[in-house]
Amino acid sequence: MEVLTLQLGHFANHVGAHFWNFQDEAAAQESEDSSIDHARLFHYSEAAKAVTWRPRLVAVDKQGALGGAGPAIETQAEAKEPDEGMWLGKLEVLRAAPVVKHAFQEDLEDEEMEEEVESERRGVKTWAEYDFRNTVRTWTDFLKVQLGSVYELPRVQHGISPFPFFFEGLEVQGREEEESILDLARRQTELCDQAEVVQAVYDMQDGFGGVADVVMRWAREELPKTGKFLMAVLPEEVPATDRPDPEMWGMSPQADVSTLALDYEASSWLSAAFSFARLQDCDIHAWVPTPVPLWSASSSMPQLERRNFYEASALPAAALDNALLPCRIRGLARPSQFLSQLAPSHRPCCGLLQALPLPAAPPPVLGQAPGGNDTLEAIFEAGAFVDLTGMKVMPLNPYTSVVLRSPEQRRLLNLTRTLPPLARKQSLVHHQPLILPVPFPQVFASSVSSDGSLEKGRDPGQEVESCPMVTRLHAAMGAGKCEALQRMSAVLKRTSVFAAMRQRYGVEADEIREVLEVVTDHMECAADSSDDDDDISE
Amino acid sequence: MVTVVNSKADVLKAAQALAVNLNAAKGLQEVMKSNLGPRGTLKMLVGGAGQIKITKDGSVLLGEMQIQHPTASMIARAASAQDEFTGDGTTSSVMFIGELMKLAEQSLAEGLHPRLIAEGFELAREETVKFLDTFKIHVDEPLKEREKLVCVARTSLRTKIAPSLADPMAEVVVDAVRTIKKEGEPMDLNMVETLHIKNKLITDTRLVKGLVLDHGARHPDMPKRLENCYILCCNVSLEYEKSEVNAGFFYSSAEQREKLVDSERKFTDEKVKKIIELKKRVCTEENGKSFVIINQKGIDPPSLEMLAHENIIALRRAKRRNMERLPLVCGGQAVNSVDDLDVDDLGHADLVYEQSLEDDKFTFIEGVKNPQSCTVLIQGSTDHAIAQMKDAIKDGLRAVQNTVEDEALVPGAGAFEIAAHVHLEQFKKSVEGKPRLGVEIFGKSLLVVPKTLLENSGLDVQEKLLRVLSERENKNKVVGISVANGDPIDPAAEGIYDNFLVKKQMLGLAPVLAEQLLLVDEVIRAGKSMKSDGGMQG
Repeated sequence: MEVLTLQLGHFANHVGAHFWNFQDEAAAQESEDSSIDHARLFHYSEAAKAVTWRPRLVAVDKQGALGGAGPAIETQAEAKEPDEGMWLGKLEVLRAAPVVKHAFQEDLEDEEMEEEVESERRGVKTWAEYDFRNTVRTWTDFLKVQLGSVYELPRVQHGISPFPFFFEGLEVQGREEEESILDLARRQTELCDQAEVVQAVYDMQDGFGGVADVVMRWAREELPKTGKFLMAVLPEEVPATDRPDPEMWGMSPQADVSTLALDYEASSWLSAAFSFARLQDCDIHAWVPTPVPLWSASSSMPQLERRNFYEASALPAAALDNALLPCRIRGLARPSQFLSQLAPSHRPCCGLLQALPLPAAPPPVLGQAPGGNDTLEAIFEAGAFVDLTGMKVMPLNPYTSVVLRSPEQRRLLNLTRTLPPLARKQSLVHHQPLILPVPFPQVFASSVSSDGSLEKGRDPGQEVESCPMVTRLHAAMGAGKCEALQRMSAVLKRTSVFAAMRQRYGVEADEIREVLEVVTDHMECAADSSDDDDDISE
Repeated sequence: MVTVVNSKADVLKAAQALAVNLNAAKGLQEVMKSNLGPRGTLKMLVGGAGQIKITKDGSVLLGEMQIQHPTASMIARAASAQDEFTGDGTTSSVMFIGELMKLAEQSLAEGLHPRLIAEGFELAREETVKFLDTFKIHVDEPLKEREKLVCVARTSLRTKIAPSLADPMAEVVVDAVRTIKKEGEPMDLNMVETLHIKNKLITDTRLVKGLVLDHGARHPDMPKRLENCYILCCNVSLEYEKSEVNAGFFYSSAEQREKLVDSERKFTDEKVKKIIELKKRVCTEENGKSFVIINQKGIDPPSLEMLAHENIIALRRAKRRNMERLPLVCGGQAVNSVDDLDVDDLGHADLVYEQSLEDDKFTFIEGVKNPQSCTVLIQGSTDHAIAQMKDAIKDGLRAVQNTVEDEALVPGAGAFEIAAHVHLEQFKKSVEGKPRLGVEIFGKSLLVVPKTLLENSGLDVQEKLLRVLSERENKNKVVGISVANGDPIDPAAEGIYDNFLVKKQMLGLAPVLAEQLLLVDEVIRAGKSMKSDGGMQG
């Protein structure tokens, strides 16, 4: 019943890093709570007297994007070893400027050295002391888990080589890169007794969309019966001045070698559209677009810096962790079954709402059943939900999954009371609030207390350590209002796109029209399904 | 026109554009120069986090370099194309382009129009390609000329690793290629598996006439070693399959649920039973045969249990490529269904055994008759040594393959470049008008390879080069340069050979790119939306 995770792209890896931090935190709570089956996400092995838990993960990023960690975490010892006479001639040593380890990583290492450090030390340093917001350079800086299979795309240098479009990623096909990536994935599946879920996070705005396509095609072939969940992320545009782009040839630095006649935004959505259209024949069950620029504001997180990869990626990570919790709980139906019922077949587009923290239940109103006023709509209206996808919510959607993490387990019944039976079947409550690992950005309003309650508030200097939360995953219906698809179709309809695409990638107008058709089809499917929704609900 | 489309584009005009291109070409040449030849410098790249890469291969180095300059990346791409197509000559190509541009610069400064130089290049290129055809040494039935093949492989390998390692490896790659060559069919180098094990010494690298898989049986009771084995190579899922229908089943009691699970399980069990039946049929006590299954799809624990009970080794999730290799190694054929299995479908190997190293397991399939696929098993104690060996072996294999396919060789040690230079000096006289200058530049540029060979060996470039040139002019025989003392040598006597294809490809790519770069009179860099700049501080 294993879950294979794929992280494709730089922002996706940020999301992934937060995700694994959550898992690490949850595993630490194991003794108190054994309902979560960690072996689904982690591979356990016992070699050389050391017990290791390695994520069942394949991560792909650009070269140099790993910062201080690098792929060769374990090879430092051998660096001192002399060469075994591989070459008798001269040796020239070229050193890159050494990357200083992030303070957080150093402390993690210390902790590993002296294993028997009391657990109190774990919380000694706080988020504010590490100053993650200003010091995190890349995702390996705040990651708590050791990753196994990380692959850096050769020839694509982080911050230097452009990798701007879907087709650039598709070019790995037939090359060494494809074989290496797929072999990593194969080795991970070889370790699984019975893979049940493939969950992927990928950057949809650039070449990683193409890489995702290649990998998902492999998954369709090799893991035909698994449930496939894709989260397509798209970061806020990075200001040009943040990119290392010295004035090498006497030009102003604001320019970027990207698609002619297409600005960053248009090219992102165009790339996303191609990736979306091509993924449609990969048998995926759920496709959740979470583009940062389209997020609705949330009053509970006033300080969130959306342009900061480290901070912006924390929200989708929490949502991913929570929404897919049913895949990791022991004793439920098979995870692949859960995923295949998330959305109607061939309509994988899903919306995702998240309330972090979840406000407490309102006091009962006289004359109403207790908890009668505790509804998802009420929480929505109170502004506690962040809409991560920009998709309209249809109240009676049977393809809904509500996952609640709160000690008040009865609340799930209240919250899902108005939902159709299928949706209630797909919903779940877990008795523990989400525990926030130290590197989770503290972007909460001051009214949120350290245990995530909205009433008490917290003292300055105190940090939020855990949060009750709820996510709502809802499919297809209302997809007509899906912002992501609307953006895609708007760009696809531009006439300037045709010429630019032909010139740059040799894509004919027909192909663009086909993509537009797929996108439009998925946008319009909302109309028919909302007609028969009356029949499905009671 | 483009500036109209995108007003943010940057533009460089004529002379400036040319200067930019010249600098890029020269810069790249400077970096790559010290790599060339058996006396070149090995480069050790130390990454920011201390990760090490050791290489001397031009294409590997280009892949690692952070090339931002558009012209430089164009040259790098051309050189990489050269590598992809022929597996060698990356460094020479970069040097050749650089030299062409450098020498052209002087004439340009004197006011010669780039167009005329380009015309001269074109004339010279055609003539040199013609000359190459007369210069090559024809090899009849190269597969039978083992000695010559070993020479080619050695020439290639000696530029990558020390001679004491290169010489035995040359035999390895030649034997590997001779194993996989099938009469009348194009050669597929993929049929040589290169696998590395981090163990022992790099000198333990060897050719395995058979197949080595990088995984082992996932059941503790399975045998670790079997002799005289039948091998079943299949692509059949032996995992518990869930039913295709998405609709949930509603069961009213635990027994009903059990029943459903049982019936689903039965489907998989049937398949396993069929295989076991076959095993019982073909492996009798009299013939003392045993049975091994290599499956491309998964095998879950209950199935493994059943197979282990029958003393069968079963491996799951084999590489897709190995499913092609396996029938070539041990006969039989890959099957996609367990129905109608017959003894003809099975392959044979004398010995199958498992070796485990820490966390990793390896399965060796050895002792096969007439293998048409094989494994080069690289062993070494450090990752970077393994990587270096891998690159060397890859290039060696390509060199042998090229020879077999070309049925021709070119004397090495710079002999071709020297001869072509002398030939062009003659040809120049027949060219009328200004393009003659282009021909002259071309001829001089060819000498960059012997010049650099001398330079890297620390010898007097002018003196030695003149000696070799006059040797060629006066005696009109094939002369190369000895890297030991710079004296003229006969490459054939020393066993130094290059590939015909590599030279031809270099002549096809490099001058054309140089011409293009010379003719560029405008460089436009696409702009992008400036929209983001406003909100940056906010």
